[in-house]
Amino acid sequence: MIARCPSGRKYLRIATFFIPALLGCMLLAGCDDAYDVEMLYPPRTDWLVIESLKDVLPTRYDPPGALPVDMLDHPDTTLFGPDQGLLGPKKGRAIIDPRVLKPDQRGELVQALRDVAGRPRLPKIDLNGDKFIVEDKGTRVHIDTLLEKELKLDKKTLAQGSVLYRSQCLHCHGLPGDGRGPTGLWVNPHPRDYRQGIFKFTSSAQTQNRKPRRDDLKGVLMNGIEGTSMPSFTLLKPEEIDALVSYVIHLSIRGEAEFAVLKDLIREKEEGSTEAGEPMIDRIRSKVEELAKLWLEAQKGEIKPVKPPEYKNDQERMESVVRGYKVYMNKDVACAGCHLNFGRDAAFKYDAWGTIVKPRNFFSNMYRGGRKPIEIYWRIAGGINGADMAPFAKNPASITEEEDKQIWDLISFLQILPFPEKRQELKEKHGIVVE
Amino acid sequence: MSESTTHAVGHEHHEMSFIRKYIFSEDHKIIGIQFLFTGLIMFLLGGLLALGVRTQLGWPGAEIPILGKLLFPGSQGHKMGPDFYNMLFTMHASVMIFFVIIPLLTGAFGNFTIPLMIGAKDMAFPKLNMLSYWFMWPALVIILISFTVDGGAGASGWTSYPTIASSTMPSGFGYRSPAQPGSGIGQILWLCSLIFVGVSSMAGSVNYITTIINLRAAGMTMFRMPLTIWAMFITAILQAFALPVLTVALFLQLLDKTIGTTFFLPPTGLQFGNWTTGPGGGQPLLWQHLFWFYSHPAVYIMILPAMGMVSDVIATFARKPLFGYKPMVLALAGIAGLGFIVWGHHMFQSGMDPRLGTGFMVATIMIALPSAVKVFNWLGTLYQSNIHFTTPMLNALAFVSMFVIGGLSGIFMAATPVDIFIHDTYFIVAHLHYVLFMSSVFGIFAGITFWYPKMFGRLMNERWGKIHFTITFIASNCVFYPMHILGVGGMPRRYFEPGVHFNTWEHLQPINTFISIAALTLGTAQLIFFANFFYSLFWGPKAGRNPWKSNTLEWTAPSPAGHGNFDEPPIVFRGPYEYSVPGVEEDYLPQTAPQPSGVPVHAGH
Amino acid sequence: MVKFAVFIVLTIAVAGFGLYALFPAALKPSPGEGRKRWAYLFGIVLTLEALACPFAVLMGWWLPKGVSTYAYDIDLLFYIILVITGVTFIAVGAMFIYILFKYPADPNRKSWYTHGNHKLEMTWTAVPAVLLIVLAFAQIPAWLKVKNLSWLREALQAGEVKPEARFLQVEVTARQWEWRMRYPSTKHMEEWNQDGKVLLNDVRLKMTPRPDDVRRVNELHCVKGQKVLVHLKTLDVIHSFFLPHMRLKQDALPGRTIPVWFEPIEANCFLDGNDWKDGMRLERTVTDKDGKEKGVWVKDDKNIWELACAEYCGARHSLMRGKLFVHDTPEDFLAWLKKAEAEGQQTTVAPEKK
Repeated sequence: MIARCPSGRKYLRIATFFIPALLGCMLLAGCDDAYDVEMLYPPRTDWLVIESLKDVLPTRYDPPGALPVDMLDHPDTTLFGPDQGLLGPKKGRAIIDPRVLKPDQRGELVQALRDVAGRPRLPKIDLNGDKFIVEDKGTRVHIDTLLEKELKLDKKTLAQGSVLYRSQCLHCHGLPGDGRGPTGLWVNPHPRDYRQGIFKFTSSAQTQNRKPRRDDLKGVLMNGIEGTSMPSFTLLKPEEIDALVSYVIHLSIRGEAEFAVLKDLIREKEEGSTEAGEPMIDRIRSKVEELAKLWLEAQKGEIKPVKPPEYKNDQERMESVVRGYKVYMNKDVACAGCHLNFGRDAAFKYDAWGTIVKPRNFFSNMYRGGRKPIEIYWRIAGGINGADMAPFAKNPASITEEEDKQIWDLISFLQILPFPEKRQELKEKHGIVVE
Repeated sequence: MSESTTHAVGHEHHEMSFIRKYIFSEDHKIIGIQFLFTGLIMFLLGGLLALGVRTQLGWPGAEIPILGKLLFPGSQGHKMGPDFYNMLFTMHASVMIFFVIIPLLTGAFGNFTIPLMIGAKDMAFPKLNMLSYWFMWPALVIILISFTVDGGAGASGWTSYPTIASSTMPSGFGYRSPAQPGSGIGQILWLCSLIFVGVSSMAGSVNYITTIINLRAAGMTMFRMPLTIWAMFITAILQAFALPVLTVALFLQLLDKTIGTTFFLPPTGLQFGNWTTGPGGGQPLLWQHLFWFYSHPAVYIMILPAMGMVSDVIATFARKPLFGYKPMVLALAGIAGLGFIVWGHHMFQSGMDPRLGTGFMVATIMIALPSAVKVFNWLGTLYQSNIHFTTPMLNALAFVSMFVIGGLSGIFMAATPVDIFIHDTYFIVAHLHYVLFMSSVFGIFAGITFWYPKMFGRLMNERWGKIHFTITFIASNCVFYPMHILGVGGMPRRYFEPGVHFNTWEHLQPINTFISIAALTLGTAQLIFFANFFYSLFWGPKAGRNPWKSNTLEWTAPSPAGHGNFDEPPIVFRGPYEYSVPGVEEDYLPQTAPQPSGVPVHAGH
Repeated sequence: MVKFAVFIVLTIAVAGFGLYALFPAALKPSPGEGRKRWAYLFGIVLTLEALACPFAVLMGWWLPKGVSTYAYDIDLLFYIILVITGVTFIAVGAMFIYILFKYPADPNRKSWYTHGNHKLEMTWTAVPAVLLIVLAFAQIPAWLKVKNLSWLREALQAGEVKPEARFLQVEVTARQWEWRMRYPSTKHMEEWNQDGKVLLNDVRLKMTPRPDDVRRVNELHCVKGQKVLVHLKTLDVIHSFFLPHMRLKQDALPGRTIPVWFEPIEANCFLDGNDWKDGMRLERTVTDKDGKEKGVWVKDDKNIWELACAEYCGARHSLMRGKLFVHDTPEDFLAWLKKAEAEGQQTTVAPEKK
């Protein structure tokens, strides 16, 4: 009934048990949760959006799993329905393909970027050389030192940020911060692509090429972005959030340098210039220096309101609402030009990243950039970068008293719009019908 | 396979082509073996998926050696992403439940054993039987294809709850989901695949019920049937009544996902960032009721056949009659009957009216009773017996002891206040694996090793069988027992990174690593079983008709049994458990053996 | 790591014994010592499992601290069931091992030929049946207390709430992948304090949104000794509101607002400078020189109380972490609420903290 067993095989039996257990232990060796040290940032292969797309009008949001700009490579897909091929005419002009460059040129670019910005596991912003000395508060200091001090882009913080990014952010925001992580394609709005160096919700008092302050990025991480898949990251400790902010800035600087140099190279190719042009490493370094200066400038200060309002009672607040309504309807201000019917009938547009957005519907009680009055102030006064929302203030660094008052009134008005009782009150007491 | 077949008397036999004999066969034994092979291959797939899950849980964030670079491109950091993990646990459960356990227990063993053990030549509807097997193939092909589609295979859990599973973009956006990548085409294919599995099972269940009622041999009264057949019979009734509800539910979700019906979409609509679904006319809770109305009887479908088989194996190798035959049958019926009124215990926390929950709670606690009765009867069978520790017996003993643990842990969940805490934690995962892996799968191993000689005419290697058993027994306890502890701590299930970031569960993470190591051992050990299985097919020692000296009818047929099964139609004189009868020299007395002189007749019931 | 090593050593020991059982002697069909190895295998595994429960308690791998009023009921029930199932497991397991030891096959002994024992069957059916029915009906009050909100139904029916029975209402909206909380403003809370009918009206209307609501994300604040009524909603898929320390779990269903309640019995946060710190435990109160009572708080990791999602909801299901802050007194809570309100109405930027 039972087979006889020849002796001498007991060692085989013992091995059969322990080998799998040992194999399991071997896997412990791979339990480091940082990027593999050999991993490199890949060369950029997706299309670059270099000009505004505001004259292209889509009819609906993009479908899950695909970004409109990425679908330029798949013109036969039917996923985009009536918006199929809408971006086609922009190919080569507003949207350009980095793959037209020769492989060795792209290889040089990648190498230069690696020299300056490092690799995922060991990120850095490293501008070697004496030409990068700047003036700072009367002393002369190397820009690298400033970056470490003001922007916390030192190697240690960046390495920590890289580990956290890989575990928390990578699956949406992608390896180089391109917003094309495996989950990122399947949420809408899509995660931010840092490589254009544009961040929507910034409070810095710059007039153009506005970069966010560290506090802006921190605020996004702490509060999330309501109504999007960007959650609040209060599950992380404060120093972890700081490290992530540094890493995101690093990805942005690196990405934007790559973006700018690619743009230049493609343009040179189109113009048919035969000269070699600047060496790649110098191009990168000068771009990074330019960006670093912009980022540093942004940290200097935020848009400061002139005179924040203090409403002593509901009546005063309502009066502000009434004034705000008048500002809103003012033809020169032209809010209603984009936020049609208080945003309820706003049209779809392409933003600076080639994704589809809609001007905010004020009845929705949803504020992506934050609902605190100061946050709304920043968005109105300074505009929203990348989304065609022009700044209200002529010079965000110094806002006039009248502009300031108008913005605060506008904010009061916007704040009551989602509430039917308040709109009713507006109608009954002040004869303003907002429906 | 051995060629020692004989042909039944009086049966027109004609030369059949190889394809008609072995592939598109109507012979229940071939179909049973086809189910067996398919089930075993899918077992490997399901196991690999489980190992993927455990790798992530044991070493979250780590880069998997070799496979990491192959599976996860650089743009993902060579790291398993959460969407991939969600697909892994979903497909692990779906494959194991619908393509391994149910096909093996009901398809393989049901098909193989029923006609043989009741003395019939074949099933009542051989063509329907063949259809039942071949309907599994579209299901298999579809589920395998679903791994390759855009967005990946279904990733909503095997429970596939709306609205994460059912929400679809409005028409014109492709069949994609705003909720997650795996709820797009992958989910649609998952639903289609399960519909085919359902049809296959329903066809099979009709066949089994009819065969058992109508085609029993002379003298084989209902209460002389072995417990395996009783279990198959009751399981088939469960399948016949419960499956239509699942099929309907699957169709409803399929319609929601393809043509924009709103069975599971609430009137307020849903908001996924920028994507909003329109308003609906249904509610998500409807799916849960429909799904669990099937899936609770399904878990009994997945255990009752094993219980029946284990009863037969224990009686055979304890050389002792089954203790309490009628109570055992009543217990099977009790479990099945009660199984229809307890589905709400999966939904205690779902937002269902809590007063309804009270009713479900009482019924659920009562299900512990017939299960306990069965365990006591098994112990009674073993008491004062002669236990032969063969591989089938060891697996059956493991079934009994592990089922005790699985059943007892179920009482915690039946207690609704405690369920508030342990619902959707690892406690549930521990319980379900104790009753599914450590009961059903050990039952399957017991059945395979027991009936292997009858199926293939050869014996499996005992030594390797025992090695496989020992490692599997120890490793599976190391994998699933600590999960009770994780669950008591409250660690939630379906978590990509459970022991990270939460202060409440960070200290439990080393247990996860321990479980993962044990799981790798467990997975590797199964290769021993497969090696033994395939080696023995060609080079195992030839088996006689009745290598285990068992009583039931199938052991009177040749090994392997031929077309028509028996040399001549059997006549049954007694019940199936006449072992160690006083006055009989041999310690067994087959059902078909004539009554020895001088021995009082114990006619069975 | 030590605990981990202990586990590994134990496993290898059991495995070793298992292999010992496979020595050739065990495989011979003749009776003798070999057969006992299987009994040892089962015996050791089952014994280790029985011991694993007290082992886990000793290692601190056990129920998190229960800090709500009904945590006691739930934990008591858990322990009662643990004792019943533990005793059953040990009894059945011991019987099982005994049988395996005592009855390996012996050619000189014939098995006991019996088909069963009616009396025994009746006993071991009736006794568990009675036990189970008693258990079932004994739990119903606890279950209904937590899920059926009888106290709220009574208050709604009576149409009023006594001042000492005032409760806090918060709306919690779950969505992929965070928890958004909406608190009443301090003014709104004043209205509730003055008139219980306003409070009940808000219950019926599920706290209609007001412009002055205080909105936070991933943090739930409440008061020790005061009930909290959470209006649980979700925007997209089914999530589940799980507070392990409160022993509370409720799935959030799209299209519905589900009322959920709990009452904390211990506080875990206090104002440290400018920030509310959780994970703190009130050790004792001292009276300072002005005769005022001050609490002495110590850091205690067991007082970090978290909110988790307990129903699969997509990619970041395991990262929906919220925090529970239980304030010591209603005044503490109001102080926090005021601060949160001010933050929400911020019109300037606070000076950067160093």
